[in-house]
Amino acid sequence: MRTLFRRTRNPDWGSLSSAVVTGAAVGGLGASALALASGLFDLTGAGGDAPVLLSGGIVTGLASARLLRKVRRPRRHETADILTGVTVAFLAMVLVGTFAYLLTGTLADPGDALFEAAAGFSTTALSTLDVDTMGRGMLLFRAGSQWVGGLTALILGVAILPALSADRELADRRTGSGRTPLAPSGGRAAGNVLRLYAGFTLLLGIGYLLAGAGPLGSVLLAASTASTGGFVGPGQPLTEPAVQWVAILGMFVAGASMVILWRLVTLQWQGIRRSAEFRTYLLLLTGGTLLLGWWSGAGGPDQWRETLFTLLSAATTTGFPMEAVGPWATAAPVLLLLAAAVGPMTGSAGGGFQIFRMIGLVKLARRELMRQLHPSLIARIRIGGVVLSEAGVGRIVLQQFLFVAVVVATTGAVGTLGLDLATALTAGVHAAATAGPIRALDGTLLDPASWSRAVRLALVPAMIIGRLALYPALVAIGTAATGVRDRLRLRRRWAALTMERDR
Amino acid sequence: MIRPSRRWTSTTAHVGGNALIFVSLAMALSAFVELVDGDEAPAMFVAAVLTGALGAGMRRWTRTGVLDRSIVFTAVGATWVLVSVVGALPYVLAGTFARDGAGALVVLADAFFESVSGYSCTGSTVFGAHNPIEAQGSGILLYRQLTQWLGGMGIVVLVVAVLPSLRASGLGLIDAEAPGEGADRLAPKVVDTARQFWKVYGVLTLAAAVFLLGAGMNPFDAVAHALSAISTGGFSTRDASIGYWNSVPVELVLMAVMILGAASFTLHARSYGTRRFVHLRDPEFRWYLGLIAGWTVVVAVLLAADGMAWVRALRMSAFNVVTLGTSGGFGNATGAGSDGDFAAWAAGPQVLLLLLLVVGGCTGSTSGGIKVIRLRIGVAHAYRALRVMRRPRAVLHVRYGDGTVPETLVERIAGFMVVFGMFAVIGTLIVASLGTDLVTAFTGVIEALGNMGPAFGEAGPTASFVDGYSTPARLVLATLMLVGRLEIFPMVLMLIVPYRSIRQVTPKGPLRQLRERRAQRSIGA
Repeated sequence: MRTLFRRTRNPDWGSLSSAVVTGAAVGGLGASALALASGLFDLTGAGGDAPVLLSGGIVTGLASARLLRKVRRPRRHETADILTGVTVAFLAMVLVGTFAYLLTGTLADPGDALFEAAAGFSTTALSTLDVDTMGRGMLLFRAGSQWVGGLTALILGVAILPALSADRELADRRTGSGRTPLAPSGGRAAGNVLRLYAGFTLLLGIGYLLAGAGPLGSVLLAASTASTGGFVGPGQPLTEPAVQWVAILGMFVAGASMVILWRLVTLQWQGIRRSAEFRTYLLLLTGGTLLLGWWSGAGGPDQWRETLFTLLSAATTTGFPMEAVGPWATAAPVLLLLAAAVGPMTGSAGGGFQIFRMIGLVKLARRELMRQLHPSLIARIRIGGVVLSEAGVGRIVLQQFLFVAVVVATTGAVGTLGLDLATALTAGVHAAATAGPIRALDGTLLDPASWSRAVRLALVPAMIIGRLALYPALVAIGTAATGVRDRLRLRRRWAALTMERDR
Repeated sequence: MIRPSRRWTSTTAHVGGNALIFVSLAMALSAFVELVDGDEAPAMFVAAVLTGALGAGMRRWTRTGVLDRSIVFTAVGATWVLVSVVGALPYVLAGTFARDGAGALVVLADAFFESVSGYSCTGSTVFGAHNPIEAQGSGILLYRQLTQWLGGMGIVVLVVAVLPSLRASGLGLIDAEAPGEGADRLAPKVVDTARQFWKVYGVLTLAAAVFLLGAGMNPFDAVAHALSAISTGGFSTRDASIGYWNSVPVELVLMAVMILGAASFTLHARSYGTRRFVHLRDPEFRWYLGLIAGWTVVVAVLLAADGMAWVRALRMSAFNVVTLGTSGGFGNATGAGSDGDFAAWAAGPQVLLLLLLVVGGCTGSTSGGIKVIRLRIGVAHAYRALRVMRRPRAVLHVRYGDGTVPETLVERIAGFMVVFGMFAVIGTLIVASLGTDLVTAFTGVIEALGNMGPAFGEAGPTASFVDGYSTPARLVLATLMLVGRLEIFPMVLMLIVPYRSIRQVTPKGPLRQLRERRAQRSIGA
């Protein structure tokens, strides 16, 4: 991603303005590529949406490319400005997606279109669409938006955020002794991630096809599994056991860190075995499945498979729908909500708080207990043998604080707009974790279409902030607020100067 | 007289024994009151005698020893557990919670729950329609209120006030018990500091009783509610709590008393000593008042938007915001689903009230929760971390009031909030697994950790905890109340001393041997 922000010959743009415009152009290009691919795919079916998608894709693409060429990038971009640029890119994609839904007539209401686009690009498994009435092009656009959203999150997580030193495993650039790092530099990290992500999606598509999901279903499911998006096409393909097994495997891999996948591909077994986060991921999935099976009275192999599917769907924040297995104990939805809030590994396409940070918090809590006994204790926090810097620890605490703040704000907003407390709390957690589907306390799935439009719109900010790993979006908001404040200050000073001159 | 050298050296037992003597005095006083209109005076006298004998025995046969931090935590934690367990004796002997269909274990668990809820100033109750409060004698009712009053200022502070042998080590005990980031020393001697705290507490209680009497309560109710209001406990002598009076003057007086109870007693003592109102100089108190005022307005607006009349919305909002914001826990609902029943409000105002459940009052007060100062510094810390991202090379400090906050304190506060969050999450999962729905489990755990009183869902202000939680779930909540009352660490770390003792006497198992070998290897490497 940093390559996009490389310096040009005549740098006369500021860091922020360059980052914002580049972000908007890249977002537009991404959405336009998706629209073009969907338009072409639509031609293989009825083709009703093809003209709008193709023409829209071409116009957006040309405008974005022109914008990108206009930017004169400065020598260096500030990290905060890069984060702002990524946020703007994401918002641009959501905006183009909203227009796609409106112009194709898939959704008539702008609010609903915005919700659908935000849910798509943020890989949140919430939808108001009737998939059985949609054309092939828009089905691909919906699933593809999740794929693009997942890719954005991966590049952000692997190529940009490690620079902020929160995740040492992702920031590991050491070579030698048989090590081949995933991210030797920001640019190569993006390339490696893209190759891994595309390859994984392709394998998943083949897997689904072999399991009998059909060509269209396989494409849609592969895109939404790899991105942990959770969008399902027509015909309910996930009811088939073989398809479920592929989905289980796919969700498990999608929830694992890109670093783990990279080590798997480059045969660095030692690195996989040593990863404390991966071990915890396995432990949580196993423990969670056993608990959920116990609480839902799972008996035969089929029920255990469905239990594993349900748990993975929540824990990886994929959100594939599955009705409750057996009688649903009161603790089962709490467990699933917790699993969605924690989420999968850092450096995966999944959302939530993520396991690495959770381990960091547990170790921080342990250190705090020890400090009560020995107030002058100096102890570093180690995860998997690697020392976490105090700045990294602080960032994890910040992330927890922000996650809770986003959940509380969203719960309050949707509660005020009409949801009951239980549903509001569940919706708030799911939106911030970009997970789904939302369940009632008895385990039945809730349909967002039954909520008011205002409630759905209130979930949009949380979905976007959650997808962007919380603080990039908040840094962007901070940047915007600072910009407005500086402008206002400047105006006030100018007005004061003018008055003085007039006097 | 036993020579000191022949006494068993145990600070924990010595402090616990002294605490039990105070508890027995409260039981004896209640037993005398029970003689007026109740049938359980003999049982209460027996409880007082047993408790007193146990306390006196422990005091006589033990002496204080060296106070290192682990012993301080064990002494404070064990004292609270001991007081809570023995404090259930009057309920058990009087058969207060015996009812049809409830086994002996359930009755014992209910007595323990009520005792813990009282001493920890939580205010959750297992009385309800199946066992009305108003059917109890005055003695039992007064004892409930006294448990909160004793727990409010801190039973260990009381012990320190009468134990000169603790000398400066007493401040460690007060520190471990006091809410917030440690206690301030008001006088050169720790004993005098503890006495000053209790003096101010007594004066405020007396004043509250007089004002409640003036507001229309009868003398017994006025005294009883003064005891539980200044301690921000929330027990009432009526089934409908404050809704029984449905009176604005009573609510106003209680709100004022709860606000004072949730403010720092160091400030009260300084104001009392200097005869000047020094509260507004304290940034935490200003933040606290601002928080209460802001929340009242927002909740009132939301209630009015939901169809409640403006004046009534303001009244309901103000009372419930204060009662939850101070961890008071009283209710002004006149019945289930009435305007004051916040469990029946829309989710928006409920979420705001839920936040207050977490926040609580000020440092050094009788209230629970994470405290305003921690929230304020936590927010400032988060804001700084965001600013650092925009200016990576800037050295930014967390500011509070006119000064900067030391980094060690910021780290300590961040650590406390993380531990609090973990207890909330794990507690919710455990309580839910014991048969409680999400909202009731989550809010129950938050209110238990914050020592608030009522929860939401099935355990709202007009419901009994028997209706909302199974017996094992109530026991988990009772444990969390104790954990929350001592702000987590003393209750967790009280197990360190017994753990070390067990380790010293037990042979090394294979796991321990392996761990030690590993540790040695890593030191060698």
